Amino acid sequence: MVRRVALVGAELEENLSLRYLAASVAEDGFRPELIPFNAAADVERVVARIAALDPLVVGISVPFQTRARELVGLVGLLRARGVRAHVTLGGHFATFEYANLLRDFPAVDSVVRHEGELTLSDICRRVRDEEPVAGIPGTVTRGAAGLVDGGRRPLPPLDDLPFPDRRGTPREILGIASGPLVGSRGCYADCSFCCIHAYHRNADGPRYRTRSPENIVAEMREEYERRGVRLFVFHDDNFLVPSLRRNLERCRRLKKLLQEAGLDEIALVIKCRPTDVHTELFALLRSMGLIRAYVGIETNSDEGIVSLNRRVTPEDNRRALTVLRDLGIYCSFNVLMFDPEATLDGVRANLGFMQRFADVPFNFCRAEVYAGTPLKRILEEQGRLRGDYWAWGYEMRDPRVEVLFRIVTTAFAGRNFKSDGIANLTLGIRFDNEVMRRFYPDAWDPVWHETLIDLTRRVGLDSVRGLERSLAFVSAEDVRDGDTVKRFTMALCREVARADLEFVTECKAFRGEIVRRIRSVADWPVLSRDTAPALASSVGMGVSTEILPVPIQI
Amino acid sequence: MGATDKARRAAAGMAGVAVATAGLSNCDGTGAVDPPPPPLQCSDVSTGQNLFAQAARYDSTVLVTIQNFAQGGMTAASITDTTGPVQLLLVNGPTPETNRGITLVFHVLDFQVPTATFTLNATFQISDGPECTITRTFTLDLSGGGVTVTSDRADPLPLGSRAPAVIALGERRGHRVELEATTSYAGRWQASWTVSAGTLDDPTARRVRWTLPDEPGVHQAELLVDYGPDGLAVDTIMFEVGAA
Repeated sequence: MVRRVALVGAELEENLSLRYLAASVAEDGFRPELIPFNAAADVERVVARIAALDPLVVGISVPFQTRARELVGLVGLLRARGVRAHVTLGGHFATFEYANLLRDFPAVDSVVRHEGELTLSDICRRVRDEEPVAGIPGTVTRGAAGLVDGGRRPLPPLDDLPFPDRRGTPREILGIASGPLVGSRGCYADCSFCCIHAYHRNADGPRYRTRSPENIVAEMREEYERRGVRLFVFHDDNFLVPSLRRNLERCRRLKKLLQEAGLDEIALVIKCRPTDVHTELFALLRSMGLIRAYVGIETNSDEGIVSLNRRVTPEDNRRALTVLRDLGIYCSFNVLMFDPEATLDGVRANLGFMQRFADVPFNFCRAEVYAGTPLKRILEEQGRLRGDYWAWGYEMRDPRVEVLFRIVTTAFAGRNFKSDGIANLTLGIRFDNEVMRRFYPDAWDPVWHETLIDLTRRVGLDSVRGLERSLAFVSAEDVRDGDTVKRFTMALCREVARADLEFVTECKAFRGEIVRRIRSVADWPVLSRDTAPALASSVGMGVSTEILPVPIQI
Repeated sequence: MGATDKARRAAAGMAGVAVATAGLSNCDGTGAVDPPPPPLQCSDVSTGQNLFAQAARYDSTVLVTIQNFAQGGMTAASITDTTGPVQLLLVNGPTPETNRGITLVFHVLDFQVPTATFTLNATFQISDGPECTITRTFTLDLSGGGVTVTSDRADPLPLGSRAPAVIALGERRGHRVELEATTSYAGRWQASWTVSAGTLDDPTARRVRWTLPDEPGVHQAELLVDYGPDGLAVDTIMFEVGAA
């Protein structure tokens, strides 16, 4: 009898971490079942589904602190429902917090540390054969004398892994099937806040590994031919290496292989560091179909660059966005405006950058403390780490910066962090525009393009204005005066909300115009899938408007 | 008209009322967005928030009740560093039955000295999660024959709570929608609502009915939740009224 393995995690998109695991255990003769767990409201359905499956092993992916409690809390509910399967946790959070999790959650049987494909397969075989799991490389379990650490498992070459499980229909954007993939794992940089760097540095192997171009193109071709995928979203934490020559060689090889495979009419999305943006390289990538690059700006302040260990300069940041702007490549960035050493001058420097590149969609937030990161260790050593392993926090050294952070986080909460907040909607409409430009070129024109850039700029400048006013407030007022701070914050909240109402109204009109334009040039039956069921809301769910199946309509 | 048809009409913006941002591309794994992380909310227990003290005086006896409104239950508590004209007579709790707080009884030794302080060292546990310990110092003001109790704030800066406010969508009928203010903040809070158009039945209730106008367009309800000294949080929701 083929035994089932239940793999649980968010599936807001095709979750590659679960799907790589699924492919791996399937290769070993098990039957993987993907159990989407996208929000707290799903818990009953998830528990019932797993109980009905009666799996041999349940694997729960716990990548970040944000939903860790919800995901780990599932284990107790499974046991209460009578699920007797071996339950293992994996992902970044579990990799670092295994001791706390195994101490606090007796219903958990094991933790898989670092990349889990080979380790999970080993667990499944041992459980099936009724052999002990303890001691498997890559696992931590409980023993009579305490935790049993199986030691680190050497990371496998990425080309050796089976392609991820691609069951289901690919997501569509404006009628174009899209699929995520990775051409590498890890990152060569060592930013202090970054969980990716922490995760791979802690593992047994190189902290940045790439797949061969041949292996990548083979997967893309399979996706293209079998599921019609034409928009390939590379989820590599960093698509490039710090060598222009090597990047050019790799991308030229990729282009040649894509052409030989007949994959001309495709689009690509990548992420990169500003230091790796060069005109020649990105002109090449554009010729391969690049329609979007996320550029990790993170900070443009001198002290932020140092405290976050960015190893870039403000000039690198400026140059990267200028190169992409000159090449007409759509990009976006995020600013970690607040970090433990942030200063008012540093905030000013970041605001200047945001103002200069307001035509590029951006967002801003605080550098959060993730498990295993240098930032966590530094704050711990300084006695500044607050909270517990579920959620760490800190206060900035300068109380005026701390209060500034609190003001803007409160006032911009809806705009910046909600999936249907205007910051994300602006990113979405700009991306839609690039999809239209690539796949329906007759529907696109430069004047229309400038209209969307103008919306981006107005949203960006509105955020900058609110931030500048807040900066002036904390510079001039007593930030310990709770009533004054609250009054200012309340007024700012209302201003941001009112501006957002106008921006969302515009955004809706622009989306309608995109649909109208595409309908005017293309026979578009695919609208039925892309648009009709998409009209649901993310309200209260913290997920996309585009994937909830139930329209909210009265 | 079936449910699907209704959805399509709303989708096309032809008629009806729908959540305004419906159908727009955003952070959904389409490659469109790399969303920033919202600030993590530290455990309220470990930061020592959500402890509220009340005091009553009966001549030379002072009764102090410290209630815990945090998610975690108080599993152990001790009082140290008592200063001023009081003697601690009794600590009641926490027990499994009273794990939301403790009661203290003090005897006032000197009616001429107006101020006393004591320090609470308590351990909390959130469900089956880890234990956290906190320390808070409380001050008793005994002047005028009465008593009030205050505590040092866990966080001396304003806007200490980052518990978000979330508008939950309730029943929807015609142009009337029911909205509910929700928050994970465990202390006392007050909701207030404003709308860009239409009418609200009670702008300060936690659950409100919003009657949207007949005019087509995007309309917004804004919820402001006041956490008192711990700050505030805001959420908004937008509805679109389609053309008839």
